[in-house]
Amino acid sequence: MKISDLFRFSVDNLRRRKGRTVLTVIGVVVGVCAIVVMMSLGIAVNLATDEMLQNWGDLTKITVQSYGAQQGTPDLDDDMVTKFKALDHVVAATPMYYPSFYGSVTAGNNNRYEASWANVIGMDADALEPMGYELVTGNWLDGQNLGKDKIQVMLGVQSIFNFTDSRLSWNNPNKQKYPEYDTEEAMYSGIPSNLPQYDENGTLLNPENFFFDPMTSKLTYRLEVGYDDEGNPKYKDYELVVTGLINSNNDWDIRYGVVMSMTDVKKIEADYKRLTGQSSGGGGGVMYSSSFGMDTGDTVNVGGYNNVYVKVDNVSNMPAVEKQIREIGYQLYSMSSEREQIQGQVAQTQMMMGALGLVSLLVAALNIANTMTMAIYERTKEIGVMKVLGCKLGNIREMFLIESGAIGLVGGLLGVVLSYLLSLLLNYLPQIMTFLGIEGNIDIAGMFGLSYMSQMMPDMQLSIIPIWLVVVALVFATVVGLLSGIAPANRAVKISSLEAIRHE
Amino acid sequence: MPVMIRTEQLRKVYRVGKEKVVALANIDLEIEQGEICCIVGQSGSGKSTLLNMLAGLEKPTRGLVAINGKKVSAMDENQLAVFRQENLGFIFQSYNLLAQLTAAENVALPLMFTGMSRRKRMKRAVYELKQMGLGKRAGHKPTEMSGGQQQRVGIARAFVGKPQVIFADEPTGNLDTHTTRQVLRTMLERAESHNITFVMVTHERELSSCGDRIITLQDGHVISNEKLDEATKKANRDALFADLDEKTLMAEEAEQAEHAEQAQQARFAEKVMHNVIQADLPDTQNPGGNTTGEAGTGQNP
Repeated sequence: MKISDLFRFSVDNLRRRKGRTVLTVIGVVVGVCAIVVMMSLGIAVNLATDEMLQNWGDLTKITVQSYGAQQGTPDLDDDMVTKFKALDHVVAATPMYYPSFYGSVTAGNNNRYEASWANVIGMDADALEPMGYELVTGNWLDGQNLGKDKIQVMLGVQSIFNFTDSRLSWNNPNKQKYPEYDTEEAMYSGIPSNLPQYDENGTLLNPENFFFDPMTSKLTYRLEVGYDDEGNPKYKDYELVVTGLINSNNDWDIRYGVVMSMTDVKKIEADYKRLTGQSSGGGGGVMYSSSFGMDTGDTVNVGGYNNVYVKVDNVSNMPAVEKQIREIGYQLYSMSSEREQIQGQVAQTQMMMGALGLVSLLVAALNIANTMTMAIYERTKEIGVMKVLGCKLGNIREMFLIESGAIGLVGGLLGVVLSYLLSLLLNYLPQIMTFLGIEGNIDIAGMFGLSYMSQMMPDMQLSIIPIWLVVVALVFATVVGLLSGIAPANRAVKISSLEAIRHE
Repeated sequence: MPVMIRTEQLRKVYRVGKEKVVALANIDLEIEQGEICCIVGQSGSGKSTLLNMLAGLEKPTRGLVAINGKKVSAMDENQLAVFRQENLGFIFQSYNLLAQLTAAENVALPLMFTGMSRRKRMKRAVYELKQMGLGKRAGHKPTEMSGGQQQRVGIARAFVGKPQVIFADEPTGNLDTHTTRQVLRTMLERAESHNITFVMVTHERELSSCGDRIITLQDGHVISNEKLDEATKKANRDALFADLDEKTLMAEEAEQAEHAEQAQQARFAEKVMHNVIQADLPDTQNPGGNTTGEAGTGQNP
């Protein structure tokens, strides 16, 4: 028997019993629709989660912490940073060192402009670029030693707003230039809209927003080294050579910071110790945080840096690297483990809702089996006649499988169409509710235990149906149809042709 | 003539509760190629059982059935299906046409199972229907046809695959006397002209007299197996078909079609006349009326 004939025969039979076919198909439509819509909600929440986390932080960055480590964990020192660098898939590792000395940055004639609170950060010079920070203008630090009181720095792009005009009184509105958050994007991201912008030649494009161009001005770092006999602060000045401006969408410290190489930070630290008379044995060493207090239960706070950043080449390698670092004994923090946790939560809810959809598809499957069994009872005589006339058993089985498979496929197609309509309805729900004058909102993310999301992302889509979901739904519905047809088809094959043709 | 169908010690025992009922007891038969063989007997004599086993629809309890040298009784279902496609045709008492298919599609059904293309098999089906005087009925569904017409479709279906053997189980059981004879004569003519072995089961002794061989069964035993000579057969058939005129079914159909056409023309003429009369009448229901239209359009609104 030709395949085209098999299909024609099966489809004719479905059409002959329109009412029943339609009812059976509706069962499948409901099942498919339930599963697809449930899945689409989860997919939308996951996508929104990813988008949200990307705004919050780099997904391939691990922050290794000195506190909360296991008993017996080695210090988080330079040796350990070197060890991290040697791990597979690690692109860069650098301490994130906040020294304990204090100083301000000044600029302009007679140090007119002053940022009294300079957030010095010590990092590996060659780790900056791999860490994924953005170079607004200029160059990365090259780690060069510029001599005694000269230091190479990169300024965080937003630190320019920290400067005040020392000639004006605090009441004067022009005392400080402020960051602006006048665009929607700036409001959501917390990144000002009036940050310095440079062209390719390093020319500042929007100088009116700032007191001076940090790239061309002479900047000085004034280290406070205690007080003289009259109680006035004593300073030591360093000339700052700004190699470039650095930015990071998700690292506030970098955006506001004064980034130096670890070598330079250690140099200033040594000067500070010497000038304040704190000089202790380990000259030139970093003043590591001491490991006291805060010890609770099994964990300890190890010595060394407070935080070390480890950059991994790919999100998919994050779990492996995290595992290795955890095995050394450190506690760590990363957006990707955060993401895993959220995704796990979403997947769990999605599974539960998908299971509900699966139940309705199961009912649809029983329905198909029932319909096919009925059809076979009705067509006993017909099947018998066909057998007597020389129809092979395989062909009879195929006929019924095509019928049940077609019910599944058509149900799947209509189910997908209906799901798209429902998805559209869900996505326009706020507008529709406003149009109908109904107050309130439907919090889909809240259903997944992420109720903060709808506040964070008011524009998030509630339901997303990707193409792969459509394909999976169609294949699944067809397979369900075929599976439910197997038992009835076998029954049809077993019908005795002799009894069938006697059957009236 | 070579033997087409042969049975050896063919036996069938049914179990009814705890009792065993012997439907057929050790039957040895030989039916020659091209023979018209009638199996006759009262109900319960085992004649239908014999036919079913000859055709491979039922497995014998013991013994052997061979058609054209092939052991039918030893074949499995799929081998039987292929064997039936290639060698056998069936005619049933209750026609057993598929209600959803047209006459032509029903006739083409056995060819469909062999995998023949639709165009080719439909052509052959329509040819067969024409031979049965149903050329104009090819597109009709079984429910739109009389019993006699349905059985002629059934016969066309049996012949369409050019089989070696045709089995017919009470093929005229549901037809009136005149139609019975008409259908019977057609079957015989078609079988004989194609040298097809024709095995027919009937309970009417009179009908069985048309065959070359008449096998009489009683209580599962063959009580007579007579081969008629040509002269006896001819005499029997003349007696049986005395009431029928010589026209073939095809000629009959052509004649009927002519009649129908004449009738239709007559009806049309009548209708035109009727409309003309209607148009001539003053239109009282539509005072503003368009009574100027041609006949046939001046209907009530």
